[in-house]
Formats: sequence, C-alpha cells, structure tokens
Amino acid sequence: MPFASAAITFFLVFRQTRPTMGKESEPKATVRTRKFMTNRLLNRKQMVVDVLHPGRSTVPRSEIRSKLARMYKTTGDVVFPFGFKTAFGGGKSTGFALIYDTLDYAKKLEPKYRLERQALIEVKKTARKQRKERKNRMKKARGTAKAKLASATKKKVK
Amino acid sequence: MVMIDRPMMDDNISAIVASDLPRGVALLADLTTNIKNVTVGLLALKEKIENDELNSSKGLSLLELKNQSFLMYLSNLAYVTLRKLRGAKLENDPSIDRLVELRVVLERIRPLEDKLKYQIDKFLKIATEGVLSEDDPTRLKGNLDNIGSSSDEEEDEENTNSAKSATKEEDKTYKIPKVSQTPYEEQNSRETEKEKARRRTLNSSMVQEALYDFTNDPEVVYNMDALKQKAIKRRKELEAYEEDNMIRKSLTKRERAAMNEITTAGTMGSEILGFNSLDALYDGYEPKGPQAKKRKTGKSPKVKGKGKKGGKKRKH
Repeated sequence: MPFASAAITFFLVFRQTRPTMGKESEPKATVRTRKFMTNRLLNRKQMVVDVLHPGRSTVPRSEIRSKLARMYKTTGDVVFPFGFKTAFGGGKSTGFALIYDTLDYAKKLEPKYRLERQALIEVKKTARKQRKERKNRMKKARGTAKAKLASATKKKVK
Repeated sequence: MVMIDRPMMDDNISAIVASDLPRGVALLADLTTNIKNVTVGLLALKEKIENDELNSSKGLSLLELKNQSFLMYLSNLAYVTLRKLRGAKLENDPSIDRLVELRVVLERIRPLEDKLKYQIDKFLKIATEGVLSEDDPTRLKGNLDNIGSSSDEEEDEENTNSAKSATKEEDKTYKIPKVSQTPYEEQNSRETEKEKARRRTLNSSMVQEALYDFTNDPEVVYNMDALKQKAIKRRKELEAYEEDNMIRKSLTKRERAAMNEITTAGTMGSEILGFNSLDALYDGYEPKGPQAKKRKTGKSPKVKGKGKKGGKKRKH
C-alpha cells in the first residue's frame, strides 16, 4: 500500500516536471545571417541565412520570417525567406532572405510565387489539365477559330 | 668532447703550416706580378681618359652606370682589404653598406644588359667593321606585317635576299597547309614506360597496405579522401555560386548522382578491393600503349522506330 502511494506520488511529480514539447519554446533554432548587403537599386536588404536547429526538423519559413523580422526590426510581411536546404545529417539549414523597405516595393519586385506564399497576392490559375487540354484543342484549329478558342476559355489572373 | 693533448695539437698546426707555406709564398709572388701588370694597364687607361679619347657622353647611360658602379665597388673593396690587413674591425663600417648597395645595383643592371645585348653587339660590329654587307643576317629585321598572312605578296626591303626574290617571280608558290593544333603525344621510351608502370603498382593501395608493416615511415592520416576531393571541390564551387547570386541552382539527375556517388560502395570498393597485377615490378614486363579511356555508361541513343530486329519478334 505505501509502495503504491509512493509510486503514484512519484509518477505525478515526474509528470509535472516532464518537459513540455512546445512548438517553439523547447527546441531551439538559432538564426544567423551572413553576406548581408543593402541593395539600394532594388530597395531591399539581401542576405544568406543560416539556421541552427539541432535535434529538430527543418524550421518552417514562417518561423524564420518572424525571427528575422525581430532581428531587423521590421514587420514580418516585408521579409521573404526562400531557398532553404538542410545539410546532410540535419541540424543546420542554409537559405536566403530579402527584406524590402516597404510592402509596395515588395509587391512590385518579388516573383509572384513568393507573394502567393505569404498570401499577399492571389493567382487564380485554371487547373493544369484544363490548360493542357485547351492547348491541344487550339492545335487543331486555325486562324479566327483559334483566336475564338483562345478568348473563350481564357480566365483572367487577378 | 675529446680533449686533444697540447703537444699533438701543436704538431697538427705546424704540419698544416708546413704544407701551406710554399703555396702561400707562390701566391704572394703571383700577386706582385699581377699588380705590376694591372698598374701598367691602368696607367695607360688613365692617360687615355685624360686625353679625352674615351668619351662616353654619347653612349648608353646604362653602361656608364655600370662602369661607375664597378669603379666605386673596387675602391670600397680596396678600403675593406686595407682595414683587414691593418687588423681593424669591420663592424658597423659604412663601407660595407656601400658595397652591398653597389652589389645590388650591379646585379640589377645585368638582366637589362642582357636584353640590350643584341643591339649592343650589332652596333659594336658596325663600329669595328664598318657598314655590313647585304647578306649579313644581323641586318635582317622581322616584318610585322607578314605575321598572320600565308601569301607573301608584299615584301619589305629589309627582308630582301637575292635568292628569295628570284622565287617570288613564280606564280604558284607553295603555301604551307594550315593545320589545326594537335596535342603533342609523348613517345616515351620503353624504359620510362616501364618505370612509370612500376611506380604505379608500387603506389597502389594494395601494395601499400601489404608493405605497411615493414616500412618505417610514420603513419600519415589525411583529413580528406583523395577520391572525394573532386566532389568536395565541385560542391564548394556550387555553394559559392549560390551564395553570391542568391539563387538555388537546380542540379540535373546526373549531377546529383555524381555528388552522391563518391560515398557509395561502388567507387570506393574497386579501389580497396581491386587486385592490381604486380607484373610491372618484374623484369620481363612490356608496358601496353595508352588505352582509350572508357566512358561510364554514356548515353546511348534509344532506337526509335524499328530496331535491328525490324518489328515484332517471332518465335520459331
């Protein structure tokens, strides 16, 4: 009996002191930047980003974005990280990041797919299969019939 | 240190002195005769200079500099010898610095003089023998306009040679065929080929490991695998390129395979487990000629349409 109670209390204490596997609190990720350059022509700062994350899988881009925003004292929406590759064995990843002066410049200069990642822009594309089928249909037509097909099924990009 | 006892040391010294004494006396006699000859020559030269026969104002300033530095060097050297003969110390003497400086100047003049040697010799020849004859090869000068053109239509006068001008009259001149550059393939003698093959087997990993126990060489541990170096170098280049241009270069399948292949068992295995023949170490070895390098599974074009079999295979 006393043994059981001791065991229970021990278990309870142990449970309390067990480290919580939080998303960001316990596993560390250190972000370091290298080759920092201020690109006045494109109104941005560009750098190579090194992330050290031992014992953890590759850090998601959103986390890196928030960390970089804190480091360079800007908002997160003008920070665009990309190209992250993890070294063999894990623990370290290297990628690039661009920090724009304003969001306007970002919207003008960044490629569409990166803007889409950060939900700043929405590109509506028709399904890939539909596009290919349309192309094949157009191959069969000639002249004005072709132009008709082109305008009929074309969907605008927002 | 073994102490040689004094009487034996004295004997040694006296023996050395006895052997060197006649030589020393002869050298001194030599010295006096040479000094007499040199003084005679120098006095004659001095007279010539005083009579203004050797005017070098229109000559090459480089040679003038050379003469002057030589003279100063000699005088400084004489001063040093004098001090030594008197038994004085040469420490911190300014003459040594001067000597060093002059020496450096003379050494620097030498290559410049070498470059001018041809011109100087030519002019000396003209000065001593007068005007050169027409066939003298030193009179010929290279014609820059003729470089690059194989057809010799225009001839410069400086290149005239009577025999050559005769052949130019003909219409069909022999034009050297333009052949593209080919690499020089060394034809090594059989001995060098044998030597090379021998060295190759001796340095192979198989032999090295077998002899490891018997050599006294210290064990060397290299940080990097010799086989991986290419791949490492390639990877480093790629990394540098990517970081400079903030871009991720996409590798083709082959490139990716090449980067990974060095670590696989395939490449390492043949080196470690391969069996080199030890024939090259024996006397009767005849090295084979250079073999054509075999390509690793090169892209063989897939046969489109009907191949050799011409359609369906039919069972008999």
